[in-house]
Amino acid sequence: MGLSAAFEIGKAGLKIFQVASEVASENIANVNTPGYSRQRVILESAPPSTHNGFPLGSGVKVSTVERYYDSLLQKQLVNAGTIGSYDSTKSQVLQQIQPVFNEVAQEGLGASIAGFFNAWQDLSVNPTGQPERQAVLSRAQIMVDQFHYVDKTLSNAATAQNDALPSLTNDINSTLKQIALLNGQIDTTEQVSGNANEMRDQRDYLIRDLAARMGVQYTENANGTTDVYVTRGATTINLVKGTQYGSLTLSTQPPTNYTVTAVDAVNPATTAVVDGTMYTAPNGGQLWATLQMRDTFIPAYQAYINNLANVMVNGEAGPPVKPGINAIHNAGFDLNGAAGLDLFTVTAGSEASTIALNPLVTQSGIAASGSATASGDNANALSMVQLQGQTFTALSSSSFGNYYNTLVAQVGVDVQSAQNVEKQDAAFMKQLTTLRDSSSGVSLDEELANLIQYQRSYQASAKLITTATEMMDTLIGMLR
Amino acid sequence: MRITPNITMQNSLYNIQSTRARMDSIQEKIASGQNYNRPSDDPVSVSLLVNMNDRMTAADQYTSNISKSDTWLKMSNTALTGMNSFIEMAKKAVSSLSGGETDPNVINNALMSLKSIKQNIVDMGNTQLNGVYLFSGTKSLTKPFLINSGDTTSGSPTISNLDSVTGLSAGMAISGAGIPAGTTISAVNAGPPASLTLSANATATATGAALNTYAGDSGVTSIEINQGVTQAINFPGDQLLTPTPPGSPYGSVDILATMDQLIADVAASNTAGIQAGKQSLYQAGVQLNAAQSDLQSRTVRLDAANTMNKTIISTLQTVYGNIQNVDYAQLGIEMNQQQTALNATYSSTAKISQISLLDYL
Repeated sequence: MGLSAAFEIGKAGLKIFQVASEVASENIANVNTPGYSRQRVILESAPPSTHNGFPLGSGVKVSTVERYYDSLLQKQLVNAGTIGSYDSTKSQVLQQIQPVFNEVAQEGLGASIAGFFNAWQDLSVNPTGQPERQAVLSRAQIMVDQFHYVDKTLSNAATAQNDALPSLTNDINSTLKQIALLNGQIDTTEQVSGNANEMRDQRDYLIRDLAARMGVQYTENANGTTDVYVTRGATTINLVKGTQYGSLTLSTQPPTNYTVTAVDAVNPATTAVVDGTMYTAPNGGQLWATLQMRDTFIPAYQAYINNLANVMVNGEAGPPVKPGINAIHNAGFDLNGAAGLDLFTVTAGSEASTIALNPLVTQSGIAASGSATASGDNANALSMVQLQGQTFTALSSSSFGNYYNTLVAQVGVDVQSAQNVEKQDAAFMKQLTTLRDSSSGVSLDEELANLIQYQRSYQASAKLITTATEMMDTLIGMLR
Repeated sequence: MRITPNITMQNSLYNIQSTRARMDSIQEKIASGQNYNRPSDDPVSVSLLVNMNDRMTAADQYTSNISKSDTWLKMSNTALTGMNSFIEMAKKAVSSLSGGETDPNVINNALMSLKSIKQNIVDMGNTQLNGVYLFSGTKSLTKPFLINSGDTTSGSPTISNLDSVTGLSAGMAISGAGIPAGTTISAVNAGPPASLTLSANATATATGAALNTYAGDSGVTSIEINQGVTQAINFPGDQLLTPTPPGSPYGSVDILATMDQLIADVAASNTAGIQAGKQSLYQAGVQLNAAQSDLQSRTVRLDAANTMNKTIISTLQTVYGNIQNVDYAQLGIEMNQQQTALNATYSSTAKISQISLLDYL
């Protein structure tokens, strides 16, 4: 031990402070990298050695380069991301559907139903009038067109969700593969050199991204790998286990709806269908939101409209029997004294999309009269008119107009609550992100201050070497 | 809590976005003039607005129904007024007659007058509006009153040498001098010569006797003036001019048969018949007046319903406007506030983002 020890200490100091500066530089360079966690160098004293009978330290060494990481916060971010993505997907789809039910801004199905019955009102005042009869046919056709339009918009929205599944599952599969790859790289790197902070950051970021697309659970293993899995009842499907990755597959049966199946990473024979047993809203992320919109929410609206069309055309069997448009039309007589034909045709189960005006009904065939011999009678037109105010048990004891208005209000409530929840999720996510940035985000001011600190320390270590060199020169000078 | 420049920037962006979203919402209201532009803006208010709209549409329709029926009733009133005035003329024509006249000119003048008056009354009864007969009941495309003549034989149901069978059919009411009240046509024989079989025997023998048939029915046409509330608007011609026993709501005088009988009695200088005819004419006037009173009361009811509908529409429009129409002044102030907030956020963002330790190193 001697002056060479001072050289060693100085040299170690130079090296260490250079590494510390590099860490600070790394932080500064990645200030805007999404998902990056700032790193800090943990310095500790090098092991002491005995010197002239007493222990003396031998400089500084880097214990580790540590990243600021809060696993609890990561879990919260993952969960919030899943829920936020579910609510955001649901809100977007509902907002796309809302315009078709927007009766305050435009005349939609509700207005066309009122128009149809108003045409019958006009006919009741002049039962033999040809313009009034033509108006009944025209208004009936407009109403039919509106039913088709509403149903088509809903069907298209459901189809769009279905069509989004291939690209969504591809994205998910690609992410699973990348996570598995990173698991392997992290494991290898940490065995060799001790830390793989950037790769861990990337993997955390990918997990958050994955969780937004589909709800997952994960465990961080002691060896640095993270396993990702989903559970369906008692079955656990490993989506990522170490370096192995599973996938999501789609049943290849378009045009019917895709079924999404999760395939285990370790044992591909173990599968589980993505359904209501695997997820309850909103824990399923974008994937479950897409499936729910396609299979539950949109079909519910379609069923509502189908019910309306069915009861309008066919009435209800009761008891008591309440006739619909067709039965009332059948009970009347046209201008030629013939009994009225069915005014509309529908197919059970898809009434809104299949409702059509009976092509055999002509202007003269509109059955306004209640008598086969009196063409100027308007009793049947009055019956038809009074159908507008009739309430039906199958329509929750509402009339046609009120039943549809209830749907409009329901859509409004659904959209508004989805938007509100989306806003709350965004605020919560922002708060979590702020917390994460607070603990893991890079502050340029801090890094610059650290840089200056390490620069001065580097200068001091260099000065130490210079001083030791001068002392050595002095010593050598003594020996000449 | 440790604050990084990124946190500050994220917060600024979040607040800028929130302010812009609020401004966008105000902008939409200003542009559309409406507080609620879609159901999700306020489902409860939108539900109210949509229901009010439905009620206004319904009230508009009832107003339209009433307005169309108004024309019908006015035309009917004009026809009834005409019939009444012709009855008055008939009364004048026979007022100076007693049956003892010998001057054939006096008798002929009276006969010509009476025949012309009867034709005019029939024409009034056949009034049309836009191709539809006012007094046919619910057979509104069928001309109600047809005048004919034929040979009657007392005790026989057959009328021979009919003028024409056009428009005649079994079941139609028929009246005339020597035809019992309530008689209908049993069968129509096209011939030639055309003849009719009646449901009852004639009570007099005459050549070229005047006959009146009614081809309409007694059906009533009603319109809706409010939900579930209807009003009859037509007057079946048989109730006005040719009621059959036990009579119509207005009376029981077969006015056309009365005219036929009077014409026959004047031609035959039948004093008792002429006196009875004068009495019948008086009752005929009462009958038509009763019908006109009914018409007036219907008009009053329709006017009242119309006024109520208009009041409902006006009230609903006011309430609708209060809920839906924007207050531009208030929106202008809110817009200004948001603009100020946005400018402040921009300014503070710019200032904060420029502060850095780098400037001092």
